[in-house]
Amino acid sequence: MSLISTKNLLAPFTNKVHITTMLLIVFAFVALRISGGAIAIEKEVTHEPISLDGLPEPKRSDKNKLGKATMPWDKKKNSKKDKKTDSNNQAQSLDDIERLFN
Amino acid sequence: MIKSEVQIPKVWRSELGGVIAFILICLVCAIASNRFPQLALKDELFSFYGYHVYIIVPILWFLPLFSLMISIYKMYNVKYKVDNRGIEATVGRISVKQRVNRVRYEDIRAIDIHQTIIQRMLDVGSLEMGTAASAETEVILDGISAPYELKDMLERERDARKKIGNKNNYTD
Repeated sequence: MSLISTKNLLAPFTNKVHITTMLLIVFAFVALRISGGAIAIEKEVTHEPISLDGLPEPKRSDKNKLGKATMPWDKKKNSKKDKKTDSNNQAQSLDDIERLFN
Repeated sequence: MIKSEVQIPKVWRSELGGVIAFILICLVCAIASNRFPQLALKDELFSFYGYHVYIIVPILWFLPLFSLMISIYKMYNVKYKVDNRGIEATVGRISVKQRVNRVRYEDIRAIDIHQTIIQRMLDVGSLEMGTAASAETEVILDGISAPYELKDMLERERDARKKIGNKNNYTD
């Protein structure tokens, strides 16, 4: 009979002592997994240096009257103000009234 | 095929204390490792094609593993064998030192059984055999199942051999 045979491969499963040993080893492995043991595969992350040249150019709409790029917090305030004026839709001068009627 | 020898295995029931300790330590390890995740070691095994393979091992897990290894060592370190000539006990199969004690059926003088209260409930125990050659016990079969049955079998075999020996002496 050859050393690697079905009979020899199944031999540990016919013995109660060996089955118990295998179950205990399985239990130890389960404990390892529950405790946080693992094999993790992570992709390599390359960090490129951040430069101002890489940043996108500010759009025209983002610029305020002075020609500067608006900060995000200012942008929010400006948009709120715009909304207010739009919602009221009130004429601010005589020219506006004239435009409405014409 | 008639077997020329029979192995008497040491049973896991005899290592019940170790097994219970292992299960309890496993539970403690799982709870403590989840509570203190910083106790887990993380190190890179190898990398290939821009991927890194890491192994994460919780340090506390070595405690239950160690207790299990002790029990497994005790279980597989001994081997008891009965054949048509006598009984043989091999101690130290996975140790540096190995000792093989062999006693013929005719030489067996006394057979003692040692059992604790839990071992009596689980029907396991230790069988100690002494010979006329020495005052001490020569062969100890530790943690075997059904020790009383084995004792009866050995005594029957010894008596039978002695009877045959006596007959031969008379005929001579």
